[in-house]
Amino acid sequence: MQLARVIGSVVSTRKSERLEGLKLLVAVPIDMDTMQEKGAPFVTVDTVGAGEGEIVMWAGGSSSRQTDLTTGKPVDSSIVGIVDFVDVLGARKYDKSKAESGL
Amino acid sequence: MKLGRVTGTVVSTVKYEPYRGMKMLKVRNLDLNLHEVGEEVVALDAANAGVGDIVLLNNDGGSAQMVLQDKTLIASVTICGVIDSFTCRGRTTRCHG
Amino acid sequence: MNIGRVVGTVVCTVKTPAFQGIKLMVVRQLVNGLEKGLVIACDGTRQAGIGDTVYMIGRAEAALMLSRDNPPPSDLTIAGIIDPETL
Repeated sequence: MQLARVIGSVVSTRKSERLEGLKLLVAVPIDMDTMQEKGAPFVTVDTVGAGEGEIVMWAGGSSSRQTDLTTGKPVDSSIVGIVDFVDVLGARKYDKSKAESGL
Repeated sequence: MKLGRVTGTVVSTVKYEPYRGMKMLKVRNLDLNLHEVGEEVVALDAANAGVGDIVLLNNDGGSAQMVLQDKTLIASVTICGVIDSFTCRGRTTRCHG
Repeated sequence: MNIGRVVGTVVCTVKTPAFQGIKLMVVRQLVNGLEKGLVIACDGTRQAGIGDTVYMIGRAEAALMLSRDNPPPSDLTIAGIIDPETL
């Protein structure tokens, strides 16, 4: 799994029937060393009620279809958690309650 | 499947329970000139390989179930053969001795 | 399976229900002995701690290793800990 920040959403009327009902979000990868955005934004499926500005954990590949919402759906990544804390070597690298939205 | 070289052994007391009793080795992929490429990974050994051997690596969960003869095993990289030699564009490379 | 060293944890209150009770570890990837980027892996051993050198399984097997009946959406799972004295 990796971290990403939700920076937007996608609306698509004409799409695969199998994607219907799924919330599509735009997210940008977060480098855990710096907790800064790094890399190209991507479209992912929300399974936990994530909102814009939040740092989330996402899973890729077939594992992203192992949620109630995405089983059997044509998705290749999904958001599986909203991050509260990241602790590395005893230091709190991220605390949601103290973080700015980053938008 | 890819060529690999066994680079070390792995001793692991705490492990996924079905791996108990299985030999685990560190391996690196090789190109056809036997140069090491890519990342060193941990593989389950189904070919009784040893450190230094040139081996055949398979990176597929279904194949792992076949070579380790366990239809329920969850695994990724397996060593499924020790290579004696291979021929490529008419040139034969011997892998041991 | 890829090698890494456990350096931290991630806490998510809101998460997919199948992740309940599974620890999320921050792992420094060790590529040919060199430290690389950080990733998040589920602890399949339930015994991994900070400083442990571990091997991790990816793809579909990461989910199945945690539970065959109710596989959680993990794309990386710690399968074992390398005994430190053998490193």
